[in-house]
Amino acid sequence: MSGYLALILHAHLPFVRHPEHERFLEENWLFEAITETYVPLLQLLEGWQRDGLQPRLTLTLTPTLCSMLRDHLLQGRYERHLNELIELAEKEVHRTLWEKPFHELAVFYHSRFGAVRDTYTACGRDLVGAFGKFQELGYLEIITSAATHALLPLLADHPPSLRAQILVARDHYRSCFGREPRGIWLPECAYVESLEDVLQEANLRWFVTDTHGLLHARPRPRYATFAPIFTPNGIAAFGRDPDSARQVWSRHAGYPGDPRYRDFYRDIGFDLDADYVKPHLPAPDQRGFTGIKYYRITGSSPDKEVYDRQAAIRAADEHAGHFLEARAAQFRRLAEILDRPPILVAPYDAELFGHWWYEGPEFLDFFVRKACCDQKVFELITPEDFLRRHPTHQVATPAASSWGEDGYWRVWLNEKNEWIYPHLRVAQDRMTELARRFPCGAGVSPAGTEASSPRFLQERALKQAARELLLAQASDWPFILRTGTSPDYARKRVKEHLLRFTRLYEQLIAAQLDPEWLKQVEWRDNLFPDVDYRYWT
Amino acid sequence: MRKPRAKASSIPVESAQTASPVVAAPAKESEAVPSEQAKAPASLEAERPREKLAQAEAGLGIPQILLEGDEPFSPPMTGPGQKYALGPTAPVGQSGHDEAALPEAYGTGKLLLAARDPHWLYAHWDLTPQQQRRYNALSADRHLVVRVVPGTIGARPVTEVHVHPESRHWFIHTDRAETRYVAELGYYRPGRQWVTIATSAPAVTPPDTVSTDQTVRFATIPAQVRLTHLAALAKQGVPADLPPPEAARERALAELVTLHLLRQEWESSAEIAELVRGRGEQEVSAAQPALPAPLGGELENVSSPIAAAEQRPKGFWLNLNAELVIYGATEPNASVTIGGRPVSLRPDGTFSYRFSLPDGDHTVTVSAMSVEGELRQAELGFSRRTEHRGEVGAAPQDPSLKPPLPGDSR
Repeated sequence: MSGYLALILHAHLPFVRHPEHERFLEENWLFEAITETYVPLLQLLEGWQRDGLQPRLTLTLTPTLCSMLRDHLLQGRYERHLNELIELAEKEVHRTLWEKPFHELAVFYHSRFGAVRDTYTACGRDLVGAFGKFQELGYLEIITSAATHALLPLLADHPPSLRAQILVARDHYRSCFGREPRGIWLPECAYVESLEDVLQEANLRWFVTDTHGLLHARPRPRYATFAPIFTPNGIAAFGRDPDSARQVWSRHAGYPGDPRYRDFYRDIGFDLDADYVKPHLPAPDQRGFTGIKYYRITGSSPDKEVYDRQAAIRAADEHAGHFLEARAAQFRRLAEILDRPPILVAPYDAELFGHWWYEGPEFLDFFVRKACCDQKVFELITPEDFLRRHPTHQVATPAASSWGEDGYWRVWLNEKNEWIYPHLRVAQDRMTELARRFPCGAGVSPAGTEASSPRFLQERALKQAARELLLAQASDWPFILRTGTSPDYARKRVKEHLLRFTRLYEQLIAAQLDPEWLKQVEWRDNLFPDVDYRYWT
Repeated sequence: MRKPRAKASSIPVESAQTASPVVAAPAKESEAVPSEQAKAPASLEAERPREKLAQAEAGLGIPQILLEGDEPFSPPMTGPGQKYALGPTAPVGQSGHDEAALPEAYGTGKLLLAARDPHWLYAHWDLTPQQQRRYNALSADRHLVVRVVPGTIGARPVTEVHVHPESRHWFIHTDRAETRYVAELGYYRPGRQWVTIATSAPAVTPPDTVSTDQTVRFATIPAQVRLTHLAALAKQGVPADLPPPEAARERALAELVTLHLLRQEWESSAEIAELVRGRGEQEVSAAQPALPAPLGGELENVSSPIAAAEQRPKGFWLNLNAELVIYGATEPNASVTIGGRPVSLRPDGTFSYRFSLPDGDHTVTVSAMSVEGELRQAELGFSRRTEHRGEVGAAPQDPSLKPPLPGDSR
């Protein structure tokens, strides 16, 4: 055995929950991800357990994602979405009765969605609990991330905000999984040295940086990215292995672009008659994805051929074998150079597997099975296990870096989204002012206090102000503004949270709270019920 | 805007799309910069008359050529998915009325400075329009100036940026990575007397090179002890009692390290589609398209800590070189040429271009033309003259850089 491979899947979605609308388009991010990524991943784990495999994978479940997965309103809406999807698949089975290739696919989708519903119901609609169970069984290490996935280096000059993002996440993880988090996924792998203190306070033992975060560390790491380093605070920093990343993500030769795989964009929600699809669309008055897609990528021309499921599965198998061989070759080469077994760290967005790349879960399944059963060159491991086995490493300070485009913070700070930061700066200072001015909230209201008593009302307002600030700090909004996938929505979210925060701030300072309005806002932005606003002190 | 056709299978779908073509198939390297997404398809209601027509056409595969000239045809999005994509184009905002707007400024007068990457800083000053106008009026230049200095105020200013009278933020390019900067906002009175309005807190640019410090310390961190109790342990770090690395092994590892940096392609949460689309957002240089853009020109530095150790001549030495960076911003859909060469714009309309700068006089003409045909031009003149005292060599420079004009221009 010449080395270790740490596969890390990072599952994250921003907090999107709109009780004020019956249906809301952007809630579809969650529904699509559950149907195409999270439930299939759970099914893979169940398969491995059933077949007696012992893989070790790492999974990030961010606090905002966990909150949504555990939210009853969203669970109900997801079930409704899934039922409608199955109904649509049934209609498709009938509509395509005389069109053989489409009919086969319609039948396939119908049975696939049915299986998703079965799994979802069997775990009691509690995906977080289901993954937690696999952590207890030893298949997964589940790690946390920042509370609302803020880009931490851009908060770094306001240490209380940094502290709040990390400690709120840690608290939330405890409530979801009943244990302490050991590892943390820094949002976008974005690291600056000033994160150390709060990571130490939270006892978070390891994180991942992009390749150059380790290669540019001071002093120079002796083993490049093939071993972690300890920061001066004793926290381990693992560097992403670029070879493993390139084969899956690369623009030149990445697997997901293979012409046999399903095309993401040719969805019947856009292709078919409006009246027919309308009841099944995610938003009431515009076209959107349904999840039923009949075409494969085929090539660069707009003429698409029908998706051939069997051929796509064969492609996934081929690619899994190729990926395995490439890793084995990498380990053999490294064995000649290094005097200790290397670790390759391969992190990916979880949504890549299944949602953006439909055959991703099959690829993962083939790969894990091959890695466990067909080879002895490397072992699948989690970073935590690796540190327990190998507790001695070089001490160095990683370089400030991220895995975003260009390697730093350009994606989140450019002409399209720079307007956000001055507002956040002011809001952050104001939150600290509030936390210092009203230090006495005990976090839990004294028994017997009236829900509308001034003291309790104030406590609620302070907590809500904290929630609004956290939601405004999410890195997803500037990211979306930059990539342009849903810019109106992102802009609106930042604005609304900042405006609500400002109003709460003004009301608290003037000691003139509005209980009706507060109740409304609490109902809409109900993230982190037990948030401790005093982290901002 | 083209609406999707009614029938699924027989007629190819054209979605409304003005973003640059996106293809998943490998080997398509377009320099196209993804522009703003097209307006989303209008509501379903608007589709009805068109669908009736489409149904009448059902079963006919209309050759593309007959539809050309109706509207500019762009190939639809294709390939694997994109993060947060809800369709081929961005959706229309869903909810109803627009609430109050965010304040334009809070008037705190603070200057915010943030490092964005090794060579770019972001500065923002919180002045209300009235405050800004007042300062502009007091200024001899009729606008404000941002000064960026390394270290502390008082050090020689590295960069002075004259900002637009209405601007309240600026992206500032700096030479040095891994440097602590402080900025001052102010203006010049008549007589070139400087008046400071605000000073920023420091910002540190990240490093963009491999460290030259090769000392090695190791520490053992037991997993079960809390970090707060361990704090002292790692800091003490035992010096490595490993044998010195074998030269051959070091070289092999160095090769891998160099290869890692060369291949850096920022694969990550960036959408696969965008990755496949091309290098649009990368800093433009004359580098070949096959190689991803180097990280701010450190390509030559990567090899030096390891290789140069063997090549360094005995005794004291100095190598140096010079480069010219021209950068700016315009409307994202304008076309820009620098020194006659067309230059790609990033989606936010910014651009930059590097030239080598040999001895001599060089003139660089920068032109920007808007889509309507309006032209803006600037001519910049540079001159370099090098005089040596003692032997001075040329530091390695990215071989793909070219001087501003073809050949020397003395």
